[in-house]
Amino acid sequence: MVMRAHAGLVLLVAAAGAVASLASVSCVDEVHNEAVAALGPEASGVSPGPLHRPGQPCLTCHGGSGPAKLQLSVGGTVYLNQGGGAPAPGATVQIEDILGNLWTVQANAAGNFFVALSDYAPTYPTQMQVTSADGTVLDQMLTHVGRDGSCADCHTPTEGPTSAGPVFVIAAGGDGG
Amino acid sequence: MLTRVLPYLVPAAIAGMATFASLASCSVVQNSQIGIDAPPYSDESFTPVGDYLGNRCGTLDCHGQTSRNLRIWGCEGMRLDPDASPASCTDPTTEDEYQATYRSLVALEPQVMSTVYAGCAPYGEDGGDVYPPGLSCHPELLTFIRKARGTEAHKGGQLICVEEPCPPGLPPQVPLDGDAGPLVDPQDVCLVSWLEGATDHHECGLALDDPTFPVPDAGSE
Repeated sequence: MVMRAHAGLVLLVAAAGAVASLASVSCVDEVHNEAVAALGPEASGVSPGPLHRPGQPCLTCHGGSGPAKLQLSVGGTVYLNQGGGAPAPGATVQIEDILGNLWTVQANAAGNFFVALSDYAPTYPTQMQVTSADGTVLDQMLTHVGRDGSCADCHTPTEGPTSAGPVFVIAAGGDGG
Repeated sequence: MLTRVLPYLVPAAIAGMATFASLASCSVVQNSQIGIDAPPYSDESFTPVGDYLGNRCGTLDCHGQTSRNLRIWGCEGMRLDPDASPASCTDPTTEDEYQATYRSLVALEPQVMSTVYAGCAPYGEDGGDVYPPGLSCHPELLTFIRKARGTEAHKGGQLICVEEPCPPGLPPQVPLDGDAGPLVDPQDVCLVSWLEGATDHHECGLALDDPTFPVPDAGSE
């Protein structure tokens, strides 16, 4: 009787261990982990926070799959001039979703802007508009946004056939671009 | 000795014969071509469809990516020419880009496309009404149609409404071809008419209005 109970307990523990192992394997998202790792470490002297990682795709970490705790619906960086590296602090970003829900957010000192998911959960597609800090330049994004709240997923640092380049307020010709 | 080896000899012989048979059959199929029956490509037939797809589906975060199975090129998204401007129609969609989108679309599900075209083409050939699709025309067999209509899971959501009530955010249906006829989604008419080989330019033009945002654009062009 004692030996049967012991054997049963061993089997139960083994089964529990197997289930736990399977669960841990199934919860690992290697694609996401690689995307996070590809962003590299924090810049020297910049702590994690609103000013960090300008130009990087915010929702890679803030999209609900971690590692960031704050979940965003929209996030990006605005630069002052097309092709330039200076941020556009105080620039205003307006987001409108397909239901007509508007949200406005200002870029901070690093040019970063972000919207918490708890504040605004847009129904895609959305359209985006950027206004300079002094209100003199207003620019509407040419296309709508289909599904991605992370601006830098498309607006990568280098302009090319699959990237419009960083978000800017003033186009290279001097007008709002 | 033989009794030890025999259990392994039989499976090995079977595997060997299977390998020989597959190699022999390879020499028959490797020179054959896989053909796709699809609406023939022409500027007249596909440009309106390509413009619609580029506008509605081809943004850089959606099908304007080479990582997608369905790839769409055009001035509102991904460009073929490495020197062309992405997401800027100051450089309009090129002929090569229209053709690249066409090839991606018809080759996505080649056998299904052939089946659908075989069933739809007769309705385009007789010059009659292209919408609603005739009895033998089943565009819903194509995954890209089902995803757009919302009858199959789609990360981009439902984009086309073929039956009222339409979900919030989708454009309201309009009378077909401006008549006081049945209410339709111009996007669906555009795609179905193309599959029939008789692209409805008017409806494809209306489809370019989507998506329409309730608050008008405030920015300058």
